[in-house]
Amino acid sequence: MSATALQTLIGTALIDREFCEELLNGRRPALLTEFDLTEEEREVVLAIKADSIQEFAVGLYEWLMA
Amino acid sequence: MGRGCSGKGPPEAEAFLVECLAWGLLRTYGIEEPPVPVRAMIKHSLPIFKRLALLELNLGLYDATYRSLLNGSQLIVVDLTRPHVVQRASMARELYVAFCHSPRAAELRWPNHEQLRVCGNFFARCLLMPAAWVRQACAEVISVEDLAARFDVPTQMVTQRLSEMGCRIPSPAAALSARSARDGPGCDRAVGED
Repeated sequence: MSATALQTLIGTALIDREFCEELLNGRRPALLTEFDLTEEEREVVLAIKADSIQEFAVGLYEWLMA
Repeated sequence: MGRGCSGKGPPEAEAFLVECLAWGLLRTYGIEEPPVPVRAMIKHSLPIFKRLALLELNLGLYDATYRSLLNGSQLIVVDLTRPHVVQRASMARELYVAFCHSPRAAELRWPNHEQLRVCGNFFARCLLMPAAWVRQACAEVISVEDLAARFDVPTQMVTQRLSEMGCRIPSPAAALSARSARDGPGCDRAVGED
């Protein structure tokens, strides 16, 4: 379930500060391998520029709602 | 996404974040199917829930409630006199309250302090009845009661969850008909009909 994988990704970042920092910085591609994302979702996640996990979540939310 | 919050839920963007939090907890605890062991989740709480413990009492005052203590520890107090499923729903709600009081929530400037009860109840539904699992279950079981049994939650929570997910709530007649088709005609007879 695509939205589930994306929500799980964000949820993990909400809980885990270290994971969150790595998601927002350079380790994002490596972290994504732990989640069952489609290629399109992976591209979207990699393209998001955000300074906080909330901004990151808003970006994903808007993409999902589009 | 095929999901929308009912009037009893938080605004959609906040609901998205709250649902993410529930999925994050499920992943972190390694929970992959219902029923979600919320009591064990509280008893074996994550480091973000700093010094959180579960206190089980026979108070008759609350279903469950969150309390922070002067020594820095936190409690979720649950009333053992309430029905099992009510305890589970209320413990899940209070787990959200505990998160909102956590240092991690402060770091995140977690946005839902003004709507703790509304968001807490929504979080409880997301945690105990994750959307993907509900959709899968709806394809297999037909009645609200069956869903309530599978997820170990009150039937009222099932109807609310189905409603906010935009799923059809099966009527008792449809459930009976489907069960009859599945189990054979003899199963529909009322008690005492023999």
